[in-house]
Amino acid sequence: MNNEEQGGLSGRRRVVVTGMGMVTPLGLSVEETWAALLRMECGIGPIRRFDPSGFPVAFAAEVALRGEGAELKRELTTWALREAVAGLGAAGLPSGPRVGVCLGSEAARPPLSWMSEPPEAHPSLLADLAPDAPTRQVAEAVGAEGPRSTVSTACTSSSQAIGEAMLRIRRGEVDVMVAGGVDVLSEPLMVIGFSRLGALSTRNHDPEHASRPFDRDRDGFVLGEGAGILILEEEEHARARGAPILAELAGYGCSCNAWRITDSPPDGRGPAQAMFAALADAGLAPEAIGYINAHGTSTQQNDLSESRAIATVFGPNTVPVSSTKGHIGHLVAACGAVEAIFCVLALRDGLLPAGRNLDNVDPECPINPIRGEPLARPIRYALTNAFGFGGSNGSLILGSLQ
Amino acid sequence: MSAGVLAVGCVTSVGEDVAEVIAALKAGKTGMKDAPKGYPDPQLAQVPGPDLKLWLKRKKDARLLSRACQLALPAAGRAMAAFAGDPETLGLYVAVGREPPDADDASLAIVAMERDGQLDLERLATRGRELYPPLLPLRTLPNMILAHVSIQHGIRGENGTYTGGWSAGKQAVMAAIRAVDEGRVAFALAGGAHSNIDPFSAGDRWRVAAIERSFGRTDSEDPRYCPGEGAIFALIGPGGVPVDWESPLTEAWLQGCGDCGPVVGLAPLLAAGAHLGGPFAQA
Repeated sequence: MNNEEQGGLSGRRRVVVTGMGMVTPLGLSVEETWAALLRMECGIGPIRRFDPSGFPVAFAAEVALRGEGAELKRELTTWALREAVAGLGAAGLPSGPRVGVCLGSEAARPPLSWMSEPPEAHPSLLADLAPDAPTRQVAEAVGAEGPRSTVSTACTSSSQAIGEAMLRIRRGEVDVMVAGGVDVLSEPLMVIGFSRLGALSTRNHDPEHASRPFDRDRDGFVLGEGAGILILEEEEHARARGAPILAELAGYGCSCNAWRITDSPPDGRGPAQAMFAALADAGLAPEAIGYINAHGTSTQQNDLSESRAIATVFGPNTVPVSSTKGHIGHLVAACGAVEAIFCVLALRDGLLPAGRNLDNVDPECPINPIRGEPLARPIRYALTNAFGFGGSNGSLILGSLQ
Repeated sequence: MSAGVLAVGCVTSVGEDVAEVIAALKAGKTGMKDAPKGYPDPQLAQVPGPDLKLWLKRKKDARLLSRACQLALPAAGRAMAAFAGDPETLGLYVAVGREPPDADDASLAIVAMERDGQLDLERLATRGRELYPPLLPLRTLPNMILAHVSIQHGIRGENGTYTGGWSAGKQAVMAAIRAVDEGRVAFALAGGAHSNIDPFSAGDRWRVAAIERSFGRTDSEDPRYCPGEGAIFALIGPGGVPVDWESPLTEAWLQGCGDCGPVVGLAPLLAAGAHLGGPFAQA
């Protein structure tokens, strides 16, 4: 059952994905990352950004680019943006007032040396530390004169940024939005801070097996870094100018848990509400979804709450589910964008990525996990989840245009 | 648009009742006071209190609250005071500034990391690690205002946290108005909170001034500049009072309550609140 068959959505401006770019711990491009993901490779290893000797956690999911903090964020954003624009080919990316930018991002952390150096040593750093710095940088780079906004809801940031960008196109404010997110978390204060919270895996002896979403022996998430950028466009606008149409962004839903600051509700109520909202927005029944890219952080509470939410919405052990955080760690403000791109690729190739390190599925998690190797199965719609500290939940539905 | 403001709550350095705050600002009253000795700016506009006992379901949650959260809860609570609908379908849209760490917390870790005037990684991994407050990350994430307000009021609908300076406030309110107008939520709570008077924000301003001086400029060293803090939230619903974004209250706010980041852009909500003549008068 698709959204046309359901009716009720006719006349609405459809939003399509016309460009994609990413930098992840698995690669410096969409195709490099995707190929490594399908080969079941892992981007998690010993921390190289700084000397982690003595730190409680000495591994992370780092990208193969140099830099730190705000400078690295700028580099990741630029890299992903360049790939997304290049993918548009001869159609290129329009500029002007009908083009906007909406990114998910958190404030960058200053390098440790910053506070003991004169301000003149880093004249642009203060502005670049702001959460909205990547949004400004992208808007300036592409000549976007339309609305710009920055969403900062922790792990849900880029999922909500993509959703908000979609709404702006639908309501006719703009024709094109550059949407996505970026984050850099392999930093000393992040490692210390999240360790003190007890949220990180401490498998220092075996980093490649540290991130194990939905596995019985999971012990926390792995800090990562990366960026994902999508070019979203009104369908007729894209067709008229010959832009490549990669997928439809069919639905968006979000919710608050109103539960606790760090925990998801054990019954999955808030996450389920976000998925129901996305399905309603897309005009789809649950059975239309062929794959779920789960938030699946590898923490006890998230994976339990999310799997119960999935069971509530789709039924227990039904839709194929995987979390790609076993391969790339947790990219936090960037994870929603990167994982939305994985859904586009799954739709394109009919290959659903498998979860890594899923040796013993937690019997408390009532899902149908993809494990071992990717599942070859053509699908029409995929759903991706992002749930954040503080209780914000976001779900996006991507569809193939047949 | 078929949505507007139904109720407004605020916490400012010149008062906490909307009508009184507007009257104070129009009369040229100010919350600006001489700053303590050693503070980088000559004046600051600080909010007294607030008394969080009135606004917290669980007293122990107070340890999780940043200063901006402390300001947000009473403002949001006042805007929600007369709301009798289902909070589960309420949207929540919040504008925030850069959330600095609590000075006492952060100084512990910083002192622990310091060696001969330099921040030292080895010290962080040893002494700093133990002194680093476990709750610090939760106080400095930008979406914590959204988290605490949603928990306090049971709000479970669509939501967003926006960053981007003064414009973030308007973005949050417009997102709420559109969500109601388009039927995605029945009602929405929207606004923002920020405190700009902490030592870290002052340090940032000092850095900007130093950078400007190195380029032969002094733009940011306006002696009239006054950092402030505050919060404004509005309940948005069908048929409420429209927001006049050109309201002169923005300028009056700056002169009376100082620079409170995204909250400055929310000052026009006060005018809408004053037009209501009481919560839900127009609903």
